[in-house]
Amino acid sequence: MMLAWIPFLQPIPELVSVWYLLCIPIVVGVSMVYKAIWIGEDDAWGVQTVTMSATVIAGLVGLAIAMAIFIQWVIPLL
Amino acid sequence: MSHRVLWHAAEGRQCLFRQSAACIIDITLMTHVNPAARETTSFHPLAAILAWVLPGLGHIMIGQCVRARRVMIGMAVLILGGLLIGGVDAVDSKNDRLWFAAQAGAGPIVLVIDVVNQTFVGSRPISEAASWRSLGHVNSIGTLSIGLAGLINVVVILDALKPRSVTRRHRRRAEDAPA
Repeated sequence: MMLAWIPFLQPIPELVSVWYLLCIPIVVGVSMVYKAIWIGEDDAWGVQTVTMSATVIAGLVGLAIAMAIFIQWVIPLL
Repeated sequence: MSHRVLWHAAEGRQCLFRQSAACIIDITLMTHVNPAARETTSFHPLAAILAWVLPGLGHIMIGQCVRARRVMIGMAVLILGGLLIGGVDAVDSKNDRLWFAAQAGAGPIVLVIDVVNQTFVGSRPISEAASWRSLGHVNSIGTLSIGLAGLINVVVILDALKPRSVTRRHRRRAEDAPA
């Protein structure tokens, strides 16, 4: 399946089961552009980008855990 | 032409990329502006247009080549990442019209991708186009990635149109810092 795949033209195969990991490049890309505009040219862009990406991903993971707890344990109690 | 090149070379700046790009812009668009005046002018409509044509190019024109390079890298991650995940089907002006409106902010590259999609994928029979069509989460993530690139490039365009001055950025940072 992978041998017949043409990158950038055909959709990447075999990633449906781990689709949530595909959010990481989006978060990194948005952080890169946001920090490029927001901080000064002399500031540490790489460090700020990594920090913002890690913060957003941690927030997403936290929301996922909170939703899982709500659905798995709180809703059955209602 | 030569005196313009010498002018930019005499600026004493380290960014050769910015100098060459600014020379090309000056020569091709006949916008021969004093570099000092370029950086103090508060409104840059041409830079905004260039920022749409190629994200980051507008900032090169206003002399912020480091910021331009960072914007280019970030936009490349978003657009190429979206294409890698969802293929050319991530940009579809017929079936995802509203998403396409957001994606169009990223510039002509998105229009080219849409033409490629409509020409090579849209014209194929369904049986042949199956491996070219992205479905479900893969299509959503690819479309979202390029859509976010288009939306955040609007911010880049606005910043190129009316950039905040370096001194204002530093003043604000100094005010935000704890005493």
